[in-house]
Amino acid sequence: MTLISDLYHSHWIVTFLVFFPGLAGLLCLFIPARRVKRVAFYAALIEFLVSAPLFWTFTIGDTSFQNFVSIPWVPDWGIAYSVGVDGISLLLILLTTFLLPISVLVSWEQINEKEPAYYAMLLLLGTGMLGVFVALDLFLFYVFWEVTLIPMYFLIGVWGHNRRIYAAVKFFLYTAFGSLLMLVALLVLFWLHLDQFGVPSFAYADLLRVSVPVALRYWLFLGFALAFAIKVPLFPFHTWLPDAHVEAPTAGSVLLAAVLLKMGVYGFLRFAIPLFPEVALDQRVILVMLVLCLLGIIYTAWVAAVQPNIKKLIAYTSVAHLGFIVLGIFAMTGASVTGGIIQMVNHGLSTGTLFILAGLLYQRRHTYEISDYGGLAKVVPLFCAALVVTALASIGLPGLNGFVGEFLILLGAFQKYPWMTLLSATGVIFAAYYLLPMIRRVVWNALDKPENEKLIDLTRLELAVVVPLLLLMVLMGVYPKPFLDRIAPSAEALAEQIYSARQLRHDPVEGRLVLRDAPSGRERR
Amino acid sequence: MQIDFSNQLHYFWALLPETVLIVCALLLLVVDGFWKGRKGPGRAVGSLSLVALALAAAANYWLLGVAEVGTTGAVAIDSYRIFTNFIFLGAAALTVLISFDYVAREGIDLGEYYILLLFCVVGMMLLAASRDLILIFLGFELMSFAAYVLTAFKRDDPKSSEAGLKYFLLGAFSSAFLVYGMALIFGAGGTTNLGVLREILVAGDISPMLAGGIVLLTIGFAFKVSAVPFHVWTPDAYEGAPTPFTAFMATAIKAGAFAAFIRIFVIAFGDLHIYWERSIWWLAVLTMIVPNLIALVQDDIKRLLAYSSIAHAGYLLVALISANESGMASFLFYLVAYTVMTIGAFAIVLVIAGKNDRLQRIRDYSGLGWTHPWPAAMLALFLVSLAGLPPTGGFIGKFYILRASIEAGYPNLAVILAFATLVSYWYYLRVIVSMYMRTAESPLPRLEWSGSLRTAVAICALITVFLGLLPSWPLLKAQQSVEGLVRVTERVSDSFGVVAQR
Repeated sequence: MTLISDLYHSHWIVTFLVFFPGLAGLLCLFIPARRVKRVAFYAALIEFLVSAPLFWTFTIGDTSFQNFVSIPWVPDWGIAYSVGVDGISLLLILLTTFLLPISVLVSWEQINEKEPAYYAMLLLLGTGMLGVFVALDLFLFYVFWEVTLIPMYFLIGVWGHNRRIYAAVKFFLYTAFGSLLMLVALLVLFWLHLDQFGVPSFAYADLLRVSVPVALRYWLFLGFALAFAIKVPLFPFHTWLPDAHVEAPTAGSVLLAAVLLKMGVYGFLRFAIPLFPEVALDQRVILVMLVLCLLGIIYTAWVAAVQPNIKKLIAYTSVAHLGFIVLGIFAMTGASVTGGIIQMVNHGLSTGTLFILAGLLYQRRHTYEISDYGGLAKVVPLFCAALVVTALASIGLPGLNGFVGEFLILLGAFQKYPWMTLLSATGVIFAAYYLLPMIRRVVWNALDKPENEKLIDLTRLELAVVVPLLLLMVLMGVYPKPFLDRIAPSAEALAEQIYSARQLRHDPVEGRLVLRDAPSGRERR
Repeated sequence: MQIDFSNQLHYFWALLPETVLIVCALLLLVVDGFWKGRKGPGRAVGSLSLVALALAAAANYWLLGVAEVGTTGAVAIDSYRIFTNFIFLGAAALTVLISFDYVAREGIDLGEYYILLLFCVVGMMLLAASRDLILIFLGFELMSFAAYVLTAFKRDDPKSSEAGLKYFLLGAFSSAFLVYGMALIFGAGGTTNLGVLREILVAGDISPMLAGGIVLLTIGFAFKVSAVPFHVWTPDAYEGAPTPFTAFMATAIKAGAFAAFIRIFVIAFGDLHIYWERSIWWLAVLTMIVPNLIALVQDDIKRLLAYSSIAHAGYLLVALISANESGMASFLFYLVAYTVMTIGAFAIVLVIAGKNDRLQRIRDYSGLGWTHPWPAAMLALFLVSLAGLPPTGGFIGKFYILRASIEAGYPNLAVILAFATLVSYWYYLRVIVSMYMRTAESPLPRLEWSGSLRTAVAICALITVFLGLLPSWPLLKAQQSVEGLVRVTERVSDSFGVVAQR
């Protein structure tokens, strides 16, 4: 047992989790089409089973990075393979590994052509996503960030629906736009570190110590924030998302909503805010961010309410939910950040399940139009039960997981921005306003379409996909303590760190630290 | 061994790689003339030219152990030259490997093809080696004459002849600019030796004659490296030339011109940086933006790659303008990455084009990813690398150039480069979309690609991935190669005295 426990406290477990899916994905390319999904499923299952014990071996209350390692990669540039897990990333990692086998199972019946390449892309995407969540070197982070792009691009573009190419290219270009500017900002930051400390380094811990000149601060923050805001997506940058979601195959939508969007929030939380605490705590910046979140919550709620297409509706609900999460992050209190993180997981579960259920409907009827359905409760009761529970979780009904996160976000944010929080709380009402009519029109109403009368209820395979998700939703709603225990210390430490970073630099008594704010010695051209 | 340029005989040793190559090329001309085999000399001469390149590479390797003493001569012996020589020789070898299929298919299987290629390489090596304006001009002419002939090598194809003529006229035109600029600089400085020039031309003391010389020289170089707005010949010449030679033009010839460009501007005019940086800045900006926009609407993949190669010249100009140590090192690193990915991409293009280069439109690539997975995957890899996405050599190279430009105080150039890259994603993706996301109209026949071509593609792919995953060692080498460049100036003061006495 000690061997295993040692393993789970070393970096090897993280390294395995990051690279195993990618390698398995490459292997998939060379496996005959009829056997490949089995191999992919086993690979994804192994991945999940290996990752699961992390939940228990994680030391609660320790806010430093666990399973940490830093191995030089390009020493001349101070680039290292450096990874680690803390309370912020732990649950996102587990969410990703949990969804991997599920997305393989979802694709089981739906993907019937070019399977080897499909599963290869799916698993490669897994490597990229996990890498983003564990990377503690900004170069490494950037590499993984970009690595997620190509598999997703192929998943949408090759196995998507009618307008798939448009959606895929739009997805790619929007995301790449943000990340290229982030790259430039990152290099400026790197250069500042080189200037101030004399050693090249991309390590997260090192770059945190850089004091950025006031003139550059806002630009650099903008470079990072734009990349993350597009990925999240925040309100005016969200237009790629509905297209990508509608056109993507089900598994693509699931991973996109559940994990890829979280990479944006995670980026804010891990990089944009801690690297530039002065900017992130600037009241004007916070105001802008909160207003964007608010607009996202309310505007997209209204847009979602009139969508005739189930998938598009769910996509818009994503934007609204993500607005909530970012609101929690920028309110920057321990509770709101904790809420934001747990809400990321919740949203991943509930929206992922909604997309799966929509995909199952599509598989049976080949349409996403809400008006093509009606009265399904009589034909497919199991399916409808799952849909209703998931929708309620997404709305935030107490007893299901969505409530916990939203409550914490509102609670935390209210202490600091009561009016904003009050306004955004209307979003909870709107959530009911757009999701319940959809449920009514799909599940209840009259069963007036003859095509709908012969629908098949959930098969055993589909139950195997949906039931674990539903169980987790209920568990996290009823007993969120183990999850919150793991998140809260890190979240509170982060909030603390941000405030102290600002306070120390502005405190005239602490002469040493004020010096760090002074312009650096070397003349800039 | 030590080389002292006051002893004229030592020039032979200093120019050993060039000498080896030119002797081999002349011998091959003789072999070609007296060939008695049944199948024509083409293939044999091609294989022998690979041997010649290997010999030159060995001589080049030997140069590593050679040290320079005393005054500076017309020839540099530094690791910058050795590094670029390896790039030229490697590019030439890859070009020979991908040429075998093409020349046989297009009926131009003549020995002269490979021999001219060797002469071309000698010209480039002179360019990289020269520390003297005259020698630079000589190198340019040697390289260009071979290139004009090779561009028009498909004699029966009007496009090829047209391309050759255009290239020749504009090339001659730009050479005139170049030589006139050199003459003016000689007039202003009184010497053609770059190291000595640097001592004489101190900043703040710039005469109209010198300014005119620099301007004309810049224009000449802009033509040679096809920087916007002096690039109009490039797409036509690239489109008409035999495809393997297009790959060579886009990589090695551009690299050769850049090697001399850097030697002149960073070494001789290093102290005058403030005078020329503005004009090069604009050249770089235009060269990054314009071709990327034009490439968006190209339907012919050869033209698309031609515009992409112009855009890449823009990225290299950013490295040049940075003019600091990491700028030069990033230039060398990017050159390696750019060479392998471009030659690889052209190799796949020439395979797919088929007899008479019929299939070159992006539409012809529809569904290629599923009918011919290997070539498509390779092409996708090279395009992704050209676009600069990790984990490929193209990404690390671009990253390095960005870093250099920020270090040199040009964050605006870095941002423009980022935007240009974003635009370029679109057209690289177009090819990938066509290959993987559209279905074939008429499926391609079985592709014919011989072992040599496959080897070349495999080498290119391996280097592309290697540079992306383990860039440490090549980065170190690039950095070390640049150190010599800067050190040159330290020794110049000795020779300065010698010249002054004359």
